[in-house]
Amino acid sequence: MLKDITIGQYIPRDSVIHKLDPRTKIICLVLYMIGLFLVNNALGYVVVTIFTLGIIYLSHISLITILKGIKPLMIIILLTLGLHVFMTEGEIIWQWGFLKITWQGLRQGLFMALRLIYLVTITSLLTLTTTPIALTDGLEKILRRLFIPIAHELAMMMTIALRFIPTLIEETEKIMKAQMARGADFESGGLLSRAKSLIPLLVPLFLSSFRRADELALAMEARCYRGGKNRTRMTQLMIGYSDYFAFVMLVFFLVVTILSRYG
Amino acid sequence: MMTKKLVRLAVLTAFGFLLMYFIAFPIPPFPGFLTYDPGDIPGLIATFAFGPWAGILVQLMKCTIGYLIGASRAGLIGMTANFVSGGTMVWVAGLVYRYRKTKGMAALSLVIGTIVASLVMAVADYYVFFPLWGIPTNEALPLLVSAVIPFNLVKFGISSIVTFLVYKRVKSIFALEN
Repeated sequence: MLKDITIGQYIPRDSVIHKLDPRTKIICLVLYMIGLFLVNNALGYVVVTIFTLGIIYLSHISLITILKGIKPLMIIILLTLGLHVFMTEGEIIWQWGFLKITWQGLRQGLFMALRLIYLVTITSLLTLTTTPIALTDGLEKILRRLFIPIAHELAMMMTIALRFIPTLIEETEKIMKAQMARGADFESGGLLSRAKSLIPLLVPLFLSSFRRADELALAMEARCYRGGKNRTRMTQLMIGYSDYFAFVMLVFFLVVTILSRYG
Repeated sequence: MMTKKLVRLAVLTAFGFLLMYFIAFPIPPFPGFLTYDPGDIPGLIATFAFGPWAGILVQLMKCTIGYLIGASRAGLIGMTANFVSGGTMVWVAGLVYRYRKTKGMAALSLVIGTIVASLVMAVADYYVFFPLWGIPTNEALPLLVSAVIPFNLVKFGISSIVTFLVYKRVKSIFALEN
């Protein structure tokens, strides 16, 4: 049951966006989000929409995949939209009993909903087009540039954690089956009994996974692992022309959003 | 020793991620988008075994991986919120527990952690996350008092109870080496 679940969102495609350096993508994401939060009028949102659709087109990821990612968020988007549309004071365009829709509310609600949708779209686009390992590498490089001392350790731990997830899933399944054979019940009952049923699962899992962790640590030390100093890599990250082009585009985007707000 | 700690924290991170990702269920009286997940338990174990900063590190990496893999429905905002709440919880609990490592202090640290994390989360929700979700300010306070604060108290409360019971049985593995 657990094994059938695929983790991760990465969709391999042969596109310009996929080929960008992970560092470029992370920095561009930050720039995009600054731009998105600056926008506050219809013209700005038109620009953001065109720009976002452009990126989606370049990434060769189908619009349906993106929309599927937004679907679970529909409740909270509708809640936001509803709260704004019905609760904002202003020029009334429709009224029924205590419910009223104002022009300002409609405008504000739509803008908020759009901002939320684009935020989710762009952040999931990053994980759709980049493998977690590449992102971890990119993060390490960026953190090191920011002079964060434990950059290497952080990236190493993330890589190990990512690698351990499938192993742990397998282990969990085994222990769940073993405890179910002894009559444990994980799936029914109230809140407290469900939380309590976690204990016979968690204790053996913790113990067995620590044993695995110690074995891995021993193996690493036997191969002379000593942190990030003088470490070499098989694949080096390289900044190419398309990365520079992406930076230029994002700066252009940022300028346009600033102009749309203050210009 | 360093490598051992590094790998153990990594495994706890993977653990936290799995618990957050696979075991999430709604708590009956609260709206469906507030779900309980036991993902804070490994962070709390890390904070008890290796200190408050290790706990924060585990929570940070858990949320980063959660975002990279796309575990949360709420994307980057949801994971940031998760980190703020979970990080506060383990940090506070770790600081209290570090002072004196007894069973009573462990229980006390979990209670203090639960309360502080719920309060910090309420403030963070009001000033940062609700505006991000676009929930208007005049609606924020009732939502906060009626749903978010009680929910966080229940959520951290359950995680605390489970952690307390689990840590008692797994701490021997840490005690041997220190």
